[in-house]
Amino acid sequence: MSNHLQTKVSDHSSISLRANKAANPGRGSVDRPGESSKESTLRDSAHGADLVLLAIADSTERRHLAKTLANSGCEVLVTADSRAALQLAISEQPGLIVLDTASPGSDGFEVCAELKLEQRTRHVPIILFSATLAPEEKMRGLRLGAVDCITKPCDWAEVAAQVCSQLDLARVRNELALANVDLMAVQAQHQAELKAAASVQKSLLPRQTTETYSNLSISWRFSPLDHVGGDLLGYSWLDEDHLAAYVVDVCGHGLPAAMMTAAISISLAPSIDAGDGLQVKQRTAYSPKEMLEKLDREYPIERFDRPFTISYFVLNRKTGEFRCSRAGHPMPIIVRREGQIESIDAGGTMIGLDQMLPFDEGAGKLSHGDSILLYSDGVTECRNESETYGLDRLSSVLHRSSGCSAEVLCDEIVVDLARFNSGAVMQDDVTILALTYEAGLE
Amino acid sequence: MKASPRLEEQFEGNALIVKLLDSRFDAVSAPVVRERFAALIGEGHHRIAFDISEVEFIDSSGLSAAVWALKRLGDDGKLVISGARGSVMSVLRLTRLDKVFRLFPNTGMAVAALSD
Repeated sequence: MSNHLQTKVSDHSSISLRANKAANPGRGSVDRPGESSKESTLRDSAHGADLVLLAIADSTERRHLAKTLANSGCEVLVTADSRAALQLAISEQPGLIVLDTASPGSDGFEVCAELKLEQRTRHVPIILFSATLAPEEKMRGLRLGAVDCITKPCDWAEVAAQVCSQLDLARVRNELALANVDLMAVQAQHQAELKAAASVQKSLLPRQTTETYSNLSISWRFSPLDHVGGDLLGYSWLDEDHLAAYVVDVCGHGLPAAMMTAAISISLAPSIDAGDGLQVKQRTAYSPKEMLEKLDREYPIERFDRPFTISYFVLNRKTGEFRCSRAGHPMPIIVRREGQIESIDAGGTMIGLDQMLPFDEGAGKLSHGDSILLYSDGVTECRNESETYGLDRLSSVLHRSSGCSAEVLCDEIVVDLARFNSGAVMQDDVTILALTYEAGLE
Repeated sequence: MKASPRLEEQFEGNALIVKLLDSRFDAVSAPVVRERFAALIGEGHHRIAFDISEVEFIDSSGLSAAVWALKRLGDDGKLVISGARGSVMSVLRLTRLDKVFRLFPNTGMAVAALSD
């Protein structure tokens, strides 16, 4: 590209050298790594924002317009031949093209169509310039993608003003498109981070969704609304005979709630480091009431700016006896082998209120074939167009599946929820944990 | 875009009645309520009756906001709830918040309790 100033145009030449205000570094030549060709086209056109390409046959008209535009502060590139406009537009990336419809030997409308088809120039606004523009011709031009049509004779100052305003419009459109590209990159990164967080949250859960230990079968389902959620579930052996299990629901959704579940899962771990590599079982883990009191001390609402609910039970697998307590969480459900459904109310309010209410503890005994179910309110609060799923419907499902393994219980609930929701998107995190007890098997 | 949920405030004696004019007390309306309570408590209002008679649906965000306000008020203040009904009352019972908050059927009784 040459830099010298020349405004005089010869009728035979197809290109005139433009008046450079400043050098244009990196025009069309430097690509940002990882950027698509569309993105680099957008950035290039940002550089050429004030360059106007005039493809006008008549030299007088060409001269007048070029001068008026140059006076308005535009860089101008001129050619007499509209066929050359396509190549020039590709290489020079102008901000706007004024295209003569009746250039000798070529059809300006065809050139307009080509410019709009070519990926590298389709974003450049085109103003058609013609001696006679019947309304059908004007419509044709607009349909081909021109932004405006000017008929000669015309007021050059007015034309220059129109050109400048179209340049401004194009610049704004371009900035918006670039901002959009940046925004999409930010969103893609955010999604990737959420997916990574989902892996971390998944690692907090038990290894397998269904497990059998001598006389117990345990099964669970965990479906957060988004990649991550505020629900947590878990179970662990306190010793050979005692199993502790829980479902947690942190108020809120998404990443902040999920991060809190990670902290809570550590507090619920049955073993604590007593130093020198010694792992000691937490005494409190055996008593639901004491565990909830401990959590209430550790998680005042100010700590994470939100409360949480929890349902916690401890089962003795030899005797079938269990103890349970809940903090503002839905009641645990006992499903007797013969089909009776019982709920256990014992507990206190949500965790975080500084011992505002005491926690009571409930107790009971499972017989052979009985099950216990913990769940989050995403199940019972599920709504379809006309009603809420509710505890009654959940109880019917459990009643029908009484005496079945924990896995079957969970499957039945999931299937019935899907049926209720008619396959629509769930509105809340869905979390269930079931345990079925077989007496007398060792 | 949905308009911001509205709160109506009025004084009765030395108590302030704050009424939520939205049928939903959820993730959308809870932040607005919480912010307003923060401002009111900051301004020194310590006897507040929260009127939720218009509310038909409450979720953990709403509960969280109410509980947060109660804690913020601390021992020097009193926050009571009036007008809890239907499924809202069920949720308060299930979460045992009906034992944490004093609940009243109407603002008249709520204000009377605040003046004790």
